[in-house]
Amino acid sequence: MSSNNTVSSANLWVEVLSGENSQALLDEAMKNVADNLSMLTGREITIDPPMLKTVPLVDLLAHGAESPEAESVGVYLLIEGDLQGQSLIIFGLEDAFYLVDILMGEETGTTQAMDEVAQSAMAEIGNISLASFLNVLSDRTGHSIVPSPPAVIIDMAASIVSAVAVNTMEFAADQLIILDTVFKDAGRIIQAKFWVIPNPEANIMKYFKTK
Amino acid sequence: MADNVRSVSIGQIVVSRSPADVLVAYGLGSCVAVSFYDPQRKVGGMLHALLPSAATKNSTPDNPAKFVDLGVPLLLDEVLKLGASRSNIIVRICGGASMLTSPGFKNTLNIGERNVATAKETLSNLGFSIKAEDTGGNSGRTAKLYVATGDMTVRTMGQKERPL
Amino acid sequence: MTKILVVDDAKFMRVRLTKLLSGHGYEVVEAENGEEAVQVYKAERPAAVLMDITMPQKTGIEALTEIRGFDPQAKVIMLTALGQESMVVQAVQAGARDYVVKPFDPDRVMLALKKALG
Repeated sequence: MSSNNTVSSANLWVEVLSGENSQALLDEAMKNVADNLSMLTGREITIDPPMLKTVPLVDLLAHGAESPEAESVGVYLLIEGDLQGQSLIIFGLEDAFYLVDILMGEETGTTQAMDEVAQSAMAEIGNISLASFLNVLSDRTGHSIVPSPPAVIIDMAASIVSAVAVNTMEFAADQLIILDTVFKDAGRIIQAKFWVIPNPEANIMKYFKTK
Repeated sequence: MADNVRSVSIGQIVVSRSPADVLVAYGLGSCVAVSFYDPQRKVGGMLHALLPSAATKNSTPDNPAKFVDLGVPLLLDEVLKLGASRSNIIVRICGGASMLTSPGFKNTLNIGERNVATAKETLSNLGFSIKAEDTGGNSGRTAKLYVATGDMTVRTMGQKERPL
Repeated sequence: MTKILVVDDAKFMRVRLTKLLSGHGYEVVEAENGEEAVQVYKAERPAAVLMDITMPQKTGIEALTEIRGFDPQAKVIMLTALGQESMVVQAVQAGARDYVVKPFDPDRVMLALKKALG
């Protein structure tokens, strides 16, 4: 792939998600996420192979929040630059506490609330996850792709997931394309859902609907 | 009584006259739920809308219930079809929180507020007044409508259900 | 005790670095943006600075430039996020001694610091 700044975000998404080299590209990008999270946490973090899903809006909550009222922490970011979209990472509240303890070098059970320190730690997790993913895409395609500053949301799982749907506003889309995976630590104590979601522009939706 | 939970997902309308049914909109963030209930006929319905109105007015969207302005009249049609009487209908609304408050997300910053405003305007144009509402703020809500009694509850994270 | 200034807008980063540095016997002062970093530098005269690049109210590069203007010998190490290579070049041109990419290996931070302190 060579640098080409005239490619639209939708076309670049199609190339990234279903082009000739996309499997290798996505694997490499996810491996970078796992490596950097492992470095940040000092634990072995692994990421499942990502799956590309077409999710109707009416099914979005069921997809993202198996227990819709579960107390959760979401880190929400936008994807900006030559690729446009959004990203969401969701942790159960207890998993988030555990993760903050690891990041702060505290004993498990120390963190009991999502205070300012805990929120900035979760923001950093989101930032590093998405930046690690986008960096590989950026390097391999020659395009400029960056994450926005993260927003940390502490709420019921369904409320967090619904933030993703709102971003369909300017697109007349009733479906979303979601690159869906899960990351976990070696002890399988933490499990977080990691979503990368292209903006549902007409061109990209047409492409994945007919595929 | 065993509650039969019927989830009202984003862009959906669910109506019922079955007393065991509880219509539930989980985790309303900036989305708004509009609930209609006829206490005489014991018919209830709920809309879970995502956005105030369709961006383009000239074509009918695939899923009109996604929009507050198109969804409310559809909800009315549906409860009338199930036997509700227009003059009996009790209207309650819930949701419209502001979930992403950082300035970086200005696209979606006041969407909750706009959803609530559009719901009020649409209902008023249809001649309805709102009996109760729990809207705004920064927290997600779960709204439940018990079809047997017409009781409605709202719940936010870590709290108990409270009557609306 | 050698005094180090830690500058980052994320509280978690400041807490983490403070723990790391005080564990190695350094005294730590903190600032949460570039503006504050300049003030604290002038007041505290730390032996070295560990500073984030992207921050509100004066970026790390702006603060670096001001600190170096005030003290041309200032030893500043930048903490950079992934994908900020172009900013690293700017920072080095503005007089940064070294940089560490986040997420960082604690050993890498200590090594850069020891090198800067000479």
